[in-house]
Amino acid sequence: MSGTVDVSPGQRERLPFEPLKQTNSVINEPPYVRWLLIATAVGFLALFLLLPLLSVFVEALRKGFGPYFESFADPETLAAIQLTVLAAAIAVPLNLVFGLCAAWAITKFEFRGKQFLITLIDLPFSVSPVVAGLIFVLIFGAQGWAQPFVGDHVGKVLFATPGIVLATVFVTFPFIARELIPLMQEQGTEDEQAALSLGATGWQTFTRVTLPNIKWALLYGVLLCNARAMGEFGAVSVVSGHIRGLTNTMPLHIEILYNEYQFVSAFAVASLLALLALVTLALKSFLEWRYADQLAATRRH
Amino acid sequence: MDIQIRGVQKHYGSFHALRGIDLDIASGELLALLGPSGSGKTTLLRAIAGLEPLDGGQVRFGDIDATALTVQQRQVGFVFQQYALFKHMTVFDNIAFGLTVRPKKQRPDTATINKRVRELLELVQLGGLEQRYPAQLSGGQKQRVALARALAIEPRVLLLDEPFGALDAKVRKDLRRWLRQLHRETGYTTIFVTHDQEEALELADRVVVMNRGVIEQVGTTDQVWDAPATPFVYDFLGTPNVLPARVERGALLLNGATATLATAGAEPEGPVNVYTRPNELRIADDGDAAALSGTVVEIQRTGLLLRLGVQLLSSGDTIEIELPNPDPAVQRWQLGDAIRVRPARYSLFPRKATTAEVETGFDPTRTVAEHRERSRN
Amino acid sequence: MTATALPRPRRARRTLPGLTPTLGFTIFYLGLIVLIPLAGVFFRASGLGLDGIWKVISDERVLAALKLSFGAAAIAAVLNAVFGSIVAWVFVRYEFPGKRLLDAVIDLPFALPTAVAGIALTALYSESGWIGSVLAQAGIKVAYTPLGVIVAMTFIGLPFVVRTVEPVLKEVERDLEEAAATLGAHRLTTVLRVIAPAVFPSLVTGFALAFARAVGEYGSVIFIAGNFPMVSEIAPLLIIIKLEEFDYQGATAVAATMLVLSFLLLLAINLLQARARRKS
Repeated sequence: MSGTVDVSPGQRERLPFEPLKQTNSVINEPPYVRWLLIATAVGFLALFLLLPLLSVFVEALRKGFGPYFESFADPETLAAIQLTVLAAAIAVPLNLVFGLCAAWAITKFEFRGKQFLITLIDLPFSVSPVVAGLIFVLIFGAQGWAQPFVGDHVGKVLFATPGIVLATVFVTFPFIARELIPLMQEQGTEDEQAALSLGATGWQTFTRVTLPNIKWALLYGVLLCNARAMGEFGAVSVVSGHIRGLTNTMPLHIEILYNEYQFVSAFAVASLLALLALVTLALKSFLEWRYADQLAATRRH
Repeated sequence: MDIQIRGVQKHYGSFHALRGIDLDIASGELLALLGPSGSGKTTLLRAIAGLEPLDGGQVRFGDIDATALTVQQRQVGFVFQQYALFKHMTVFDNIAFGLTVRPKKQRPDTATINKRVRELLELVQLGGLEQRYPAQLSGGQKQRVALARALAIEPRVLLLDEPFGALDAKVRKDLRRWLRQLHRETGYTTIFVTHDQEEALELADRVVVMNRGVIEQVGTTDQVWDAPATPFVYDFLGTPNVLPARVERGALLLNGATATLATAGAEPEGPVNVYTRPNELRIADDGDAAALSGTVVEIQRTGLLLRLGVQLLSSGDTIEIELPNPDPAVQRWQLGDAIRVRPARYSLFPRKATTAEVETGFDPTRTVAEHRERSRN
Repeated sequence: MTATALPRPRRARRTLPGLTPTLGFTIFYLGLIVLIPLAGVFFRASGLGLDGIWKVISDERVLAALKLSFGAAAIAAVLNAVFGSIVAWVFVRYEFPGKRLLDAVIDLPFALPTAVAGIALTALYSESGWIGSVLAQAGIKVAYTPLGVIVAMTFIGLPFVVRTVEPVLKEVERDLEEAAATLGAHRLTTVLRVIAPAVFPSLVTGFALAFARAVGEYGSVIFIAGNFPMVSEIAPLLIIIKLEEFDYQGATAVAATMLVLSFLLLLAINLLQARARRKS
């Protein structure tokens, strides 16, 4: 480092590194307080997060690997897995398109009622999943107000696949939008304007400028949306009718197995969903570690 | 209160931030800690405040060994560069904070606190703004609230970290004048950190020039400006021309004997560097034995000054000369004109790669052009 | 709600294409999936009239369920506020082995299906479970009691407080704490009077989000609750029971009550955030 005059105006002199938090004893807590707080936090998290997660796998393997894998041979279980994948395969792309449209409109333009729109997108976060299911029962149920029309022209919605997809879409639609909006707001519109000024069309601008900027956040949004779509319980439970082999999704199937005291099978199916959750979290941590700058600084679900 | 600093050491890992600082500060003095980034000036200020635990040495406030006191007990008024005002508190509550957190027995009653806060608001000329929140204040107002908050605890010493760093030029000038006046009125021993030489020289009674964790020079404004003790100080205060030269038999030979300057006689024989500021160079006539010949290669008119770049015939180096508002009748310089200049004032430093110079990153063998280039950055 | 806290984009940006189709699709989709169905519920509920709704929810069993849902959610949210703040503090301020792993696991309740969480918690806290057996020796029964409801709700709301408080705590400048110290404030005073007020709005937001989520939670609660009427039966379960009995009116009444309460909460959060923003 040169000792000559290299003055950076208006800046406090920067050390070659950030002084470690722990070294500055002047404004830190005494060690015993620190360790007490760390122990409390770790204890709390272990009790409420780690142990339940661990117990899923322990319970699933309680009788060894044989019974564990046998659980998946059950045709009803397979049907449940199939239905879950189908519902997610429909709901996630729909919500992906919605998320991109909503984020584009909200972050790249100013219009009246924007705040209201954002609040509406947040709505499923604060509506009980059971209430969400109820909404669709009221519409498409035996006395539902849309039933006379839908029943004649579309077919059965409630207690059938369409109802399950609808409920899943409702519960999971904010995830991708909420992931993108803060990030795209941070990024502003200068890149897009530059692209347009260089002669790119709107679509080229989106695919070649915007999309690369948001791809990691988008990926995480899709993953989270997918995990939630496959795991949705309350809303789907209300609209499904619990017809075995037909309208049972994985979470609903877990409930049935559990209530029939088939614990190993219940936990085996649960372990699949838990694995999905773990993969989602691992990818999230990886993306945050690797592409921290390309994900929104503050995120909430 | 007077302050004595003895042998203060501070490391951050392998980085030696303060290398044994000794400094005496008189009661009521207004002192500037001046230096570039990483020179340790802020670390020294924070060490005085007790915000940095020391690795060695002692700080004394009068008869008290401050090293044995915690930050809370030291009772220093510290004004942070970014002010560090409590956002959720009004101006009033910010200023009153230091009084209200005292233990019950030492805490003044509400009426006393109210009175004291109002006095301080008057002192910093913010009467009527006590119910505002920091977010509703301008930069200069925040600065004054931070100052009032520090003064509220009747500090033993007032410490300011880059007090004008975050302000724009106009506000900075006003606040500087005002701070000088405030210091005169209150008489607190005041130490401030700055990287701006102009600010230091204008405000302070004495200036401490720091570099790489050591003090290069301590002195009044006149002393550090007129008689820089080290090449670093010369370099830091202004952008001097550096001319390689030799002292031979008591005579100073510039540029391989093309010019001879008188020396005071005390200089050691051998290679030296002549430091001379652009405004210390004069135009000389042909008969001057101490003059250097060159060609005008750059002409710059800035307001009242005429700045010429002169390429020396002997070495090819370009030096800079600053002339007061020139009389157009006398001479109009053109590019390519022949010119003779002589240093009217200068200092000599031995040209020898001493360890100290290597450590400061100061390389006396650099050409003048390189030297100037780096100084400007 | 994050977006509301971010600075609004600057004006004059009509130059970009695509507002009409994207906004059009957004509104169409929202209308189809959210607005029309929700309007349906309120249409239904208004058909009942206030008297009708009151008649349903003043029923002993419904009242008990509502009381349990909101009461247990409040207790769980308080637990999360306390421990969540400690977790956020520890994550932001200290380094310790395993911190990265724990940080990743915090979001587990967001990603783990509620039914999975439900049976896992039940297995843990039932009298034969790892934790339940220990607590049983102390005479504490968790599974199949209101206590179990609180445990499940704590699990489900855990990330909210941590994730709302963490970024705010990170931004509390070290300068502020140093300033307080030079002014003579001791550590605890600094934490209470300087740090806590700066973090408080985000703590309230986290609390409200955790609370709202817990009130409506169904999947993770019903397994561990045992669902004894009047004791450990939550309101969402009651909606389902009423639906199964084809009592659509009763179900709607309970749902409308919960929706209104949730909406009021959301409104309160937004107002609180707006107030906090105005200050800084």
